[in-house]
Amino acid sequence: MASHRIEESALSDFGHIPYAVPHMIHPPTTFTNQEGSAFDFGELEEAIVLQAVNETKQPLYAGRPAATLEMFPSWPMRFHHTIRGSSKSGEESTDSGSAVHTLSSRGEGSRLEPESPVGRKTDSSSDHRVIDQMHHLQLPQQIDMASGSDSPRTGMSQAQPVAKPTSEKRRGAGSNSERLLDAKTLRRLAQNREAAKKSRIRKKVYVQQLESSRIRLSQLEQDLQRARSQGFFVGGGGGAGGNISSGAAIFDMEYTRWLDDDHRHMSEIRTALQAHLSDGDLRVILDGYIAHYDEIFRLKGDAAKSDVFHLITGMWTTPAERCFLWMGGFRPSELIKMLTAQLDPLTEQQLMGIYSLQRSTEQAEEALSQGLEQLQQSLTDTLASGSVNDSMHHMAVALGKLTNLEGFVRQADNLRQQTLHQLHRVLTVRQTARCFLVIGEYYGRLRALSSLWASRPREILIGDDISCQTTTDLQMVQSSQNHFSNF
Amino acid sequence: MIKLVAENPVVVFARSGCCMCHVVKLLLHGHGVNPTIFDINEENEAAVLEEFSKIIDKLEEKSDRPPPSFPAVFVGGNLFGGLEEVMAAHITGELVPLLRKVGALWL
Repeated sequence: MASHRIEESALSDFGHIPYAVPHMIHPPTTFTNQEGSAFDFGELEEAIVLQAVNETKQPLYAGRPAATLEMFPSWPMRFHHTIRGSSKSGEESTDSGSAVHTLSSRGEGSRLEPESPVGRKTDSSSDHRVIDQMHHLQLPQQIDMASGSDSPRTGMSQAQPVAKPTSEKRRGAGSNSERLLDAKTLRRLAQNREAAKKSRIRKKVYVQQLESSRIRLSQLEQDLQRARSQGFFVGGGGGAGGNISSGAAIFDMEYTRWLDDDHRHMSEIRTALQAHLSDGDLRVILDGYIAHYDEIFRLKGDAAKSDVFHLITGMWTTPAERCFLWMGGFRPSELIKMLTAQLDPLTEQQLMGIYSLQRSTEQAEEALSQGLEQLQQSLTDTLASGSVNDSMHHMAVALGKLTNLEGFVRQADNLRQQTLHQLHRVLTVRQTARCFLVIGEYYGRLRALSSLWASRPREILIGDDISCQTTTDLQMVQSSQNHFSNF
Repeated sequence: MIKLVAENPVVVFARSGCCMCHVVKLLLHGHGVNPTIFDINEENEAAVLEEFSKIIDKLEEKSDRPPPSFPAVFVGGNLFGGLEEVMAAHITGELVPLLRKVGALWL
């Protein structure tokens, strides 16, 4: 990432002033540990808490042992040992406790000296070196820590003589206010800090990925525009995991939101039916649902202007829906056929109305399909004919013919919209409500079918296993059919 | 043009070779209607559309309709609309009575 590189060079410039890097930096992978920043706010707060308890003039020193211990979780055992040694020994006499502490820290110091600042040898210069290294590692930090951290840095060089009395004081205070200083609390605080740190890092990575994707998308679109204007025909629409046009992406986003709205409407209608609302109230809800459908048709109309192929190939739907796709959406006559089975009982007049609606949708679909066929035939003729010389002219003619596609999708959506409106007119309010629920449920299941199909187990099973698998599928289908019978 | 439109119960003005117009024809034929169809060449399109506007201004006051385009269907001397309007009327069941009224249907 360019931005990443810039930051890295900035880092190298400021190598000797580690605190002058206030801005957020992506987690460097070169570090031995990921959670290197102990000098964050959580630490400061904890240190202040400890200060309030300890009433010492050097609160950060008191906080330091615990804080620095947790900085390098790759050495958990030793740190836990040390923590326990320092805090749980609050009950013990201070002398033996401090002796334990000093011994352990000294012992660890000899082992950890090159890597960890915890090991406090009397050699203050090595402390400095080690501590500088530590500071280098903790780059993602806020600037206000700079001043706060300076004192521990200088303080640590004198840590050795101070460690004993401060740890004594801490332990002494520990016996007074155990609730603040016992190991569990400390551990919990530490875990919280680490979890928060991890979340922050994850969020940073995610945002970074989003940004880079966005940049890449706009670059691709520019390239596409340029290529198109130069007369190159860019093939491969949305199929081969390829680029999606901005119009298509926008529509997909809006369609997702529309689906969420659809769920909301469904629940609303369902509760309204169960609550036995008056027809007037129910009608209001249904009008809202019709408007909801009008909205998606409007959105599709807009999308057809920018990317008709996206709509007509059904790339905005799930694979199972795509299987039944007709002219960029559902086939109205199929919908009516599906509904008539679910909508008993109907009066004679309603039956007539539904039947004539089914017939007229079939006729309209037939007319539209034939019109589209004629367009396809005409397009084929254009593309097939023509010599090499005037191929560009033929291409231009073909492009002109393609613009009619938008009209077909528009008319098909118009037909769908009219069908829904007419349903609402023919049926009673309650029947319409049930009808809409059936429609919503049906398409919900169709969409779910796509997901289930995609995640089905693909291993080749033999004999009994196959029959077992089939049975489960059947059971699933049966349970969903039972659900249908609620109507 | 007004004469043309008035003389025939159903008149369709279509761009030559337009597939949308084909759909309108199919719909009307499906009802047993034999509309008078005028194929308009590309060069005459603008002029014809202008004629439409004149007819609309004369016969109707409403201006909330979208501007006429092809295919344009006249029923009983009035501009009924395009494919969208025809299909809507077809679905709602209003088309057949209207056709009968203007004498395009004998059944």
